[in-house]
Amino acid sequence: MTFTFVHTADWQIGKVFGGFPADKVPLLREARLDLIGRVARVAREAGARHVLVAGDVYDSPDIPDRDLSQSLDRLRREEDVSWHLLPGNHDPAQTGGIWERLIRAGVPANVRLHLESRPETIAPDIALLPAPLTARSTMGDPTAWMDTAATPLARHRIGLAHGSIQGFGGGDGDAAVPIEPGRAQTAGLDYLALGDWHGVTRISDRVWYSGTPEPDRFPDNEPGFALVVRLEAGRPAQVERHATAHYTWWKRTMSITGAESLAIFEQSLAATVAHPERLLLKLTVNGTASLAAWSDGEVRLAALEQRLFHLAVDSATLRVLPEDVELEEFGAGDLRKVAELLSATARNEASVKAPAASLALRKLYLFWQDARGGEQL
Amino acid sequence: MKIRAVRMREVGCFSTPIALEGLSGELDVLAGPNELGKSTIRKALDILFKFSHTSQSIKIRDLKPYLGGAPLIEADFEADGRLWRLRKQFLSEKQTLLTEVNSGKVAARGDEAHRRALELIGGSSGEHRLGLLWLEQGSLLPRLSKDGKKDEIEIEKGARQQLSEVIEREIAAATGGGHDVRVVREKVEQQRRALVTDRRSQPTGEYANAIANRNRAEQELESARAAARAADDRLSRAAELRERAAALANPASRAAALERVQKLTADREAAVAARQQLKITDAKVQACESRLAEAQQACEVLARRLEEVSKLELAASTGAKAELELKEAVEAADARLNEARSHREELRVAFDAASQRLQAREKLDSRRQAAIRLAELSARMTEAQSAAERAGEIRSRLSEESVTAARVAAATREANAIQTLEIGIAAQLPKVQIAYQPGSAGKIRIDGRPVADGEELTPSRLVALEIEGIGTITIDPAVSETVEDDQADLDAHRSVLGDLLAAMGVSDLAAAREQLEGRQNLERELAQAEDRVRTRAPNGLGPLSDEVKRLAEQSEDSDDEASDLPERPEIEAEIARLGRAVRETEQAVDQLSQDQARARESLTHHVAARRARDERLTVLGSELPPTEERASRLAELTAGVAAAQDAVNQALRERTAWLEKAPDDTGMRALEAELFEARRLQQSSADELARVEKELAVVERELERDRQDGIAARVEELEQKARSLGEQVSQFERELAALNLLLDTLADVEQQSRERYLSPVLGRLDPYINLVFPGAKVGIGRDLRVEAIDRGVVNEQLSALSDGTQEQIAVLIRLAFARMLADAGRPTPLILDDALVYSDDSRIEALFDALRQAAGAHQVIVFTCRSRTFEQLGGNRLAVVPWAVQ
Repeated sequence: MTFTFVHTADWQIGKVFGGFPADKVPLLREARLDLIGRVARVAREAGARHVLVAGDVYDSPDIPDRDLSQSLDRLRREEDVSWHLLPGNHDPAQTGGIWERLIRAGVPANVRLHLESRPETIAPDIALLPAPLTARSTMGDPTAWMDTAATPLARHRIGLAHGSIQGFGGGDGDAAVPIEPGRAQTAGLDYLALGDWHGVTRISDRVWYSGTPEPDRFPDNEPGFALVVRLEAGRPAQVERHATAHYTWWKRTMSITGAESLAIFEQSLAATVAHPERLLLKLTVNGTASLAAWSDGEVRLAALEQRLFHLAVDSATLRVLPEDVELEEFGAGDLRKVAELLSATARNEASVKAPAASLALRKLYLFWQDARGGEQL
Repeated sequence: MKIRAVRMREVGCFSTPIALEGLSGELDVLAGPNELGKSTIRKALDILFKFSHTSQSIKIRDLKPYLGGAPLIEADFEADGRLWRLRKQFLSEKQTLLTEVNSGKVAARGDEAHRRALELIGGSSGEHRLGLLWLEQGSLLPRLSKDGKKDEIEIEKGARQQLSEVIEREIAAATGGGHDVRVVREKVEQQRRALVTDRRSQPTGEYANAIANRNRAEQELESARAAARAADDRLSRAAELRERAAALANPASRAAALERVQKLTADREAAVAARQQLKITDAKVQACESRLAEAQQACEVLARRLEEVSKLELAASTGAKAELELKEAVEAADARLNEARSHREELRVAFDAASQRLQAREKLDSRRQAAIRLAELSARMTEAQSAAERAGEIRSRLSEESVTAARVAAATREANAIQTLEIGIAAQLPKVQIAYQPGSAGKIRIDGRPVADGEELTPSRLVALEIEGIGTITIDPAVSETVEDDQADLDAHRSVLGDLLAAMGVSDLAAAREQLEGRQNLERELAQAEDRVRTRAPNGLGPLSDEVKRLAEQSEDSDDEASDLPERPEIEAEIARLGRAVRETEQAVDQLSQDQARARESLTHHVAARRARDERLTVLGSELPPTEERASRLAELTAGVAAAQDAVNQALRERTAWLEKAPDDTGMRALEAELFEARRLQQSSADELARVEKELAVVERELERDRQDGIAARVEELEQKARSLGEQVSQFERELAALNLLLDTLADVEQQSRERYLSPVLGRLDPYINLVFPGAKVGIGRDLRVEAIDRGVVNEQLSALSDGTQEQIAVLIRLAFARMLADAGRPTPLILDDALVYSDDSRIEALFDALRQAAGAHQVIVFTCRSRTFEQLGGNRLAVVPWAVQ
C-alpha cells in the first residue's frame, strides 16, 4: 500500500524584498502567499492528502498580521489537504512567538502544528517524527531524538526537520542547525523531509531537501519545486519534483564574444522562458566588447528590461575596448589620442585603472556621438 | 583687411559729419586732446563691422548724438584685393550698402551686405577677431577698472576664447575635429558636475543623495539589528519569566521550599550541637594528653636517675687508680724540668764569657787599624804642607811681575797695527833707491846724515838730498790726505806701544813675550802645587792635622792582656754554638713546663671529678628511694604511663566521631547562608511571583510592539536596501572614476596639443617681447591666459607685475595674434584706443618700435591723447575732417 505526500519547505511568507523597486515588492510578497494554492494543486493532482512543510513557513516571527491571517485563510481554503507545519530557524517555536500568535489567531482544522519533538500519527500506520526548532540556531542535532523514538504501530516513519546536513557541501541555507547525514538510517526513517536549503537537493534515497516552492533570491541551485513522495513497504521512496514557481529567478553570466552575443542570449531567453514578464534576471556581463557592440548591447538591454519583470545588469567586469577601426572613427585629432590612451589602460589588466578606463571609453564614445549628432543637426 | 577711410554722421559727440581720410593701411595715428572723439570713432568702427543695421543693441543706441538722430557709419576697406565701402544706417531708415569703390558698383544691400562684409573681413568669426584686436582704453586691465567691470571681463574672456578658437582652428586644420574635444570635455565636466562639486569635488546631486541614503540605511539597519537583538532578548526573557512564574505558582514547589527550610533548620541545629560536643571532646583529649605527659615524665626521671647512679659508681671505682698514676707523673715531670733549667743556666754563663772575649778582640783590632791609618795620613800631611809652602812662594813672585798676558796681547795688537799702517804708507810713498858709484859712497846726505849705498828712502815729507859738491835734490812726495791720516794713526799706535812696553819694563815686544813665558811657567807650577794640596788634604790642612792627632792618640793605647786572645772568627763560632745550645735548652724547658702543667691539670681535674661524683651520689641518694625499693617503684610508674595512653586514645576516637558531624566555620556559614536563602525564598516567593508576572506583562507588551513593528522583517528589508544603495554608490563611484580619468586624459592630450600649437603664437610673440623685455619669455596657461613672465632671474606671476608691465604684455600678445592672422593671409587691423596709458617713456619707445615693426605686416591704428609722446611713433598722421555726405 502506497502512502503519498507532498514535501515542501521554506515558504518564508512575509518576506520583504527590500532591494527591489517599491512597485515590485507587493507582487513578490503576494506570490509567496499564492504558493499555498499551487502546492495544494500539486498534492491534489498527485493524490496526496498530506503536505509536510519542513520549516520556515514564515519569514520571521514578527511578520505582519495581514500575512499571517491571509496564510491561514488560504490553508483553510485547501480543506482537502492536511498541512503539517514545522517551525524553522526563521520562525522558531519560542514562547510568545509566531506559533502562539497562530494559535491565538485560530488554526484551521486541516492544519497541524508540530511544535514538539515527539512522534505523531498523521495517517493510519504512518508516524511523523517532527524536529521543530525553538531557536534561530542550535548547538545540537534536533533530529537526534528520532533514533530512540518508538513507533511500534507505524508502517512508515517519516522525519521532518529543518537544518543543514553536515558534510554534504555548503547548501544555500542560513540555519546554524546541524543534522547528521546518517539520521535516516540510525532512526529507521523511510524518508527524512528537510528544509532550509532553497534548491531541490537529494542527499540520499531517503533524505531530500525540497527547496522553496517560490524562489526568493537569485539562486545557484534549483528552486521552485515541491516534491511528491510515495512510500511503499520494501521499496525506496519514490520522489518526483513538480514545478510550483510563479516567478522565475535567473542569475546568468553572459560573456561578450562578439557583436551578436547579446542577440544570441536574447534568442536563448525567448526559447527558454515562456513568461518573460515573470522573469527576474540578474545578468552579469563580462568579456570584451567593441564600442559598437557595447553600444548596441546597451540598446538591447534597455529593450529587454521593458519585457522582463526585473532586470539587474552588472557590467563592472565588462571590458569595452575599441577596435582599430573604431579608433579611426575618432579622426586624427585629440579625441583619437584620448581614445587610444584609455584603450591602452583598459587593455592593461594589471592596471587598477583598467575598469575605469573601460567605462571612460564608453562615455567618450557616447559624448563623441552626441557631439557629432549636434554638429549634424 | 585694411581700413582706408572712416566716415560718420549723427554719431556720439560729433554734431556734424566727420571723416578720417587717407589711412595708409600701415601705421596710422590719430593724436589729439581728450574729447576729440577718438573713442567714438573706434566704437563706430566696432559697431559698423559687428552689428547688423537692424540691431537694436544698447551699444548702438548709446552711440546716438546727444541731440538725437540716427547713426550713419561708413568705412572704406581693402579686402580680397579690392577696395570696398561699407555703409550702415542704424536705428532709422536702417540699411546696409556694400559697394566696390573702384567700379562704383553696389555689391550687396541689407543683410546680404552685412554677411558679405563679414566674409570679407574674416568670416563669421570676424566679429570675435575684432573684439580681440580693437582695444579701447583700460580694456587690457580689467581688474583695475572701477566701473563696467562685467563687460570688461567679458571682453577679456572673449579675447581668450577668440585666441583659443584661432589656435583650435589651427589644430583642427592640422588634425581635424578640434571642436569635438571641447564639446566632449564640456559634456564630461557637465556630467561630473552632476556628481561632484567643482571646487572641492564633494558629492552632489544624486550621488550625494545615494551616499546619504546608503548611510541612512546603514544606520537604520544598525538600529534595526539592535532592535532585533533586543527583541530576541525580550523573547528569551519572556520565556524565563514564564518558567519562573510557573515554578513560583506551583504548590509542590512551595511545599518543597518549606521542606527545604525545615531540613536546613534541623541541619543547622545538629551542626551546632555537634560543634559543641566537639569542643568538649577537644578539652577531654587535652586533659588525657596532659596526664599522659606527667606519667611519662615521672617514669623517665626515675629511670634516668637510676642509670646515673649506676654510672657514677662505676666511675668512682676506676677513678681512684687513675688519680694515683697522675700524682706519680706530676712528680716525674717536676724533676725533669728542674734538671733542664739547671743545664740552661750553665750554658748562659758560658755564652756571656764568649761574648766578653769577642768584645776584647774587637777593641784590639780597632787599635791596630788606627796605627796603619795614622802612618798613611802623616805622609799625606807632609806632602800637603810642602806643596802649600811652594804655592805661597810662587804667588809671592807672581805678585811682583809687571808683564801680564793682557798687556802682551795689547802690545801685540798695537805692533800689528803699526806694521799694517807702515806697509800701507810705504806703498803710497815714493821710493828712492840710492846706488853710489864706486868711490862716492856717503856723499849723499839727508837731514845731515849720509845715505848708505843701496839704501832705499821712502820720504813722506819734503826732504832734501844733499849731494856734496853737486847740489841738493828736493823730493816732495806730495803725500795724500790718506797717508797723512795713516801716519797720524801710526804715530798714535807707536805711542801706545811705547807706553805698554814701559809699563811692563821691557824694551821691546820680544822681551815682553819672553818674560810672559816665564810668568806662565810659574802659574802652571802654582796650579800643580794647589792641586797636590787638594788631593792630599781634600778637607783642608786643619782637619787633616786634627785626624792625624786623633789617630796618634788612639794608637797610643795598649792592652797587653788581649794579645793572647783567639782570633775573631773562632770566638764568633763559639758564641754561635753556645747560642744554639741555649735556645735548645730553653725549648726543652718550655716543653717540660707544659708537660708538667698538663700533668698537674689532669690530676686537678681527676680530683675535682671525684669530688663531684661524690657530691652527686650524695644528692641522688637523698632523692631516690632506698635501694631495695627502686625496681618496684620503676615498674609502678611504667604501668601508669600505659593507662594514661589508653585514656588519650579513647578521647581521640570520641573527638573524631564528633568532628565528622560538626561542620567547620566555612561550612557553618554556608549552611547559615543556605538556610537564610531558603527562608528568604520561601518568604519572598509570593512577592517574586507578583514581580515576575508584572515584568512578564511588560515584556509581552514590548513583544507585541516588536511584532507590530515587524523588526525581523525590517532588518532583512534594510539589509537588502543597504546592499542596493551601496551598489548604487559604487556605481556612482565607478562613474566618477571614469569621468575623472576621461577628464584627466583629455586635459593631458589637450595640453600636449596646446603646447604643440601654441608655439606659432609664442614664436611670433618672442620678437615683440624681446623688443620691450629683452631676453624675457612669456608663459601661457591652460586657458590661454598669460600667467608669468620669465626674465631670466625670476619667474614672475603676471598678477604680481606692475600695471604698466601687464598692459605692455597684453598689447604685445595682440600684436603676436595679429601677426599670426596676417601670416595666415587674413590681415586684420589692430586698433589701440589710448591703450598705452601706464607705460613709462623708455618702455613706450620700445613699444613704438614694436608697433612700427607690426605695421609692416598688418595695419595698426593708434588713437591717443598723448600727442607729444606719440610724435616719436611716427606713422601716417590722421586728422578729423568734415564729411560731405553723399
